[in-house]
Amino acid sequence: MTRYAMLIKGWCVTGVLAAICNYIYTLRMNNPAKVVTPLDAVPGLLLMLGMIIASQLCHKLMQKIAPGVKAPVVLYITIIGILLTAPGLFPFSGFVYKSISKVSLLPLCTPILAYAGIGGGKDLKTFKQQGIAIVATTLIALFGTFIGSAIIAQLVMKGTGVI
Amino acid sequence: MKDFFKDWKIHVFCAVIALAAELIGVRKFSITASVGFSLFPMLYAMAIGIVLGGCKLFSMETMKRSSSYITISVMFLTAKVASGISPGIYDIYQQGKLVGSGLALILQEFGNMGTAVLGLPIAVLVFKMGRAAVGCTLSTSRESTIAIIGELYGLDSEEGIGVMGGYVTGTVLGTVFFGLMASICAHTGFFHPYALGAACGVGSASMMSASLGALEVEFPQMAEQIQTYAYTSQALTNGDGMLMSILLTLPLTNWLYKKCAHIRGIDTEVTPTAEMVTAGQELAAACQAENDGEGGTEK
Repeated sequence: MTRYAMLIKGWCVTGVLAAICNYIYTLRMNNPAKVVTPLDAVPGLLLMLGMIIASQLCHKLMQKIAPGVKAPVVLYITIIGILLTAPGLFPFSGFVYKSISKVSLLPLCTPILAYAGIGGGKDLKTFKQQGIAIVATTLIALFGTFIGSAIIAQLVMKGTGVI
Repeated sequence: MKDFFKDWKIHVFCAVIALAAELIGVRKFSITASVGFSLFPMLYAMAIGIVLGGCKLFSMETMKRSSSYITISVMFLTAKVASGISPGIYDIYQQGKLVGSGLALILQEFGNMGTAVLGLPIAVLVFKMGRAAVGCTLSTSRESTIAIIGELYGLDSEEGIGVMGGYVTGTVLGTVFFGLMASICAHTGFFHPYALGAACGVGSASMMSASLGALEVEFPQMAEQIQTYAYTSQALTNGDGMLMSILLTLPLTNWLYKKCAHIRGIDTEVTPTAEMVTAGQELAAACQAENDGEGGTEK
């Protein structure tokens, strides 16, 4: 099976699931004005898919013209996303942002973590062999990066009057 | 064409798990007024998958293949995150808070060194770990960290064992841990939601979404601004993460290790298991293949 077949399947499944999960998620907010039906989510999802495909093409193109640059696809998606939604840069910036805003963050993550959960089972055996020391240290390290950033951000924002 | 539908099982499992998780919905728990947490669909999806995998419901082939769909599936999330950055920053600019927010976002990147500052002394002094502690606390032990440690020390070294241990721990527990931690931090009231938002960008998409999701559940009225801080911080970390690990955190980690080793004699209790070494090598090869642009999944 080729990489392309996998990409197409992954995109289709994620897109469709995101639309349905988003619908269920918005239904639960008990606010009829905020409900986004799967059909309402289609423009946003297609725009995201467009960005993703464009970034794949950029990635391929860069490999051809500058094989020395090893930038991940994610970087191109980020740059394209930032440019397309920059207010005033393109006449359609507002439309792009509004369409994508209809798809909430939380339901978009559900299919990703469903894949991750299924895949996580393979690491379970290795995980069980870990000493408690490594498990605890990893969690402390993860806590460290979060709390470290939170403390600095809190102090700087307080100091500059943002909050 | 027959080949195209060969792995249909994975997608059906994924769909069933995702929909089941979404139907459970967001649940809030409070122990006391200030201590509490929230659970939300993505955490159930992760947990259900791992538990079912633990019950041997999926074949090894299915689980491996499912992992390679994560990077594909996550592209939508990246596109969503990227499209929120410009409008969010423009909003901050209009409120006249661009300088302060920008400064906070740039400086909080150094908070990512908290992995070493907090983790390494505890690992060496309390858990009496050896050089494995360096690999484990260099960063969040995701793919890029494995690449760095693999390059510098080799993955069958003590440091390599540390980072691989961190990797599996993060894979199995990371998302749920980040969700709960952000939720609990939000409940304490010590931090402003914006500061917590900026802290969410730790470089891993699933960890960021879990912590950001928790904040959105706690502060729905500030969701948009919190998202801007999280997304921007995430984009910054994606850009500077590897450089910062190599130039700043690694020297700091080694320095801290020397200091801590000086305080108490080290006996290394962790020995490499064959599986960890092969898992590491496979992952390193996969990273390499990914960098070269081919997914390495020809079949």
